[in-house]
Amino acid sequence: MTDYISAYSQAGHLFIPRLFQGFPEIKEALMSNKMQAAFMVAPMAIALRAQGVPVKIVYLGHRYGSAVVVRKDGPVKSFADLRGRVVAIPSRFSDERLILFRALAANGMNARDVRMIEMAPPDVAGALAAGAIDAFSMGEPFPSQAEIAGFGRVLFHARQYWPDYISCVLVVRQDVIDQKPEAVQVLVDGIARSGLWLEEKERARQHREHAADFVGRYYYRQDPKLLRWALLKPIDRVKYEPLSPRRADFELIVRLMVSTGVLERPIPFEEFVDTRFAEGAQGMRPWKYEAGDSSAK
Amino acid sequence: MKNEEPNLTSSFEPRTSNFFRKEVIRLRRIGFGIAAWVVAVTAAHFALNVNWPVLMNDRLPEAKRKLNVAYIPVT
Repeated sequence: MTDYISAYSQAGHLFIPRLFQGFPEIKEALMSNKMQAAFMVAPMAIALRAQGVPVKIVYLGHRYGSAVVVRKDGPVKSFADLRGRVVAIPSRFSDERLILFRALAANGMNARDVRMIEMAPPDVAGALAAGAIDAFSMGEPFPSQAEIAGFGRVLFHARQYWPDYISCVLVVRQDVIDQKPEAVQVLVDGIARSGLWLEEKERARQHREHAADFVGRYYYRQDPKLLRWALLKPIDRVKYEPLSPRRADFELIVRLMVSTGVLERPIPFEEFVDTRFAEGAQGMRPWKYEAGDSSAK
Repeated sequence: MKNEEPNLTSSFEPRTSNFFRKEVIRLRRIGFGIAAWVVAVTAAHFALNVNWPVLMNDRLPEAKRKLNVAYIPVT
């Protein structure tokens, strides 16, 4: 979204967006310096840092926007019905897995009560429709995809068990942070402005409709109708403010990662987050851009 | 008696050269068609499959290069 709007600004494109189909590929591209920055699930970024990969989280992509979806006509009517069922998650290192653990604990169950399998996000809706899995825990627009197609039903949204839930974060290589801090700041500022644009009080609905159109067509290669659903039903299904990385949010993720066995020991917040760019983006204003405008400011 | 022996050379040569001329024209047309097809497919490939901004960005000096930012179609 930032790329599309910034193309209309005087500065032009702020960065080069590159579409991937899975988090493992993004991880490899980041490690090999093919990509200098990436959006990835927060636990994966933390795990990379813990493994010694020189990257840091500098900003969030959004808040909320993940849900557990079951078959509409299936046997799972309540959370307790998930016992013994197969649930797809995007990765062992994902918040979508951690939200399941939180929900299991809140319902007096544990990890042994469900069978979690890793699946690429674009495959989950089809797998649920075919009956290959009983449920999936995934970020938008895949819950929306299952709902629109008529075979899926949201069992719960992440916010139900995790206030201020975060999933995708912006990760930047440490050498880029050291050598090109101004480029990182421009990127973070652009994302901050996009978030504010999507949350702009009276115009939020129009902006989200427009964003669904151009992001669906030019970036996600998905039906804009799908993104319209994800961004508007309801309008706070995915939130784009506040996007600053907060210590408490990440310390909770680290604790959950340790307790669920994907991180050996806790690592300090400062070791995997660099907050200076979020602080630098504090005073940002939303983009001045409406559908059909020939320029953005 | 008049010698009725047919003049093979005069009756055969024009037909042969006409045949080859037509063949050459036909082959030339096929050649042009193939060349046009290759050019069209190559142009379409360059327009649709080559990510020009990425290619141009990779050729810039390190200091001027924009960041490559990876994303997947999920929130």
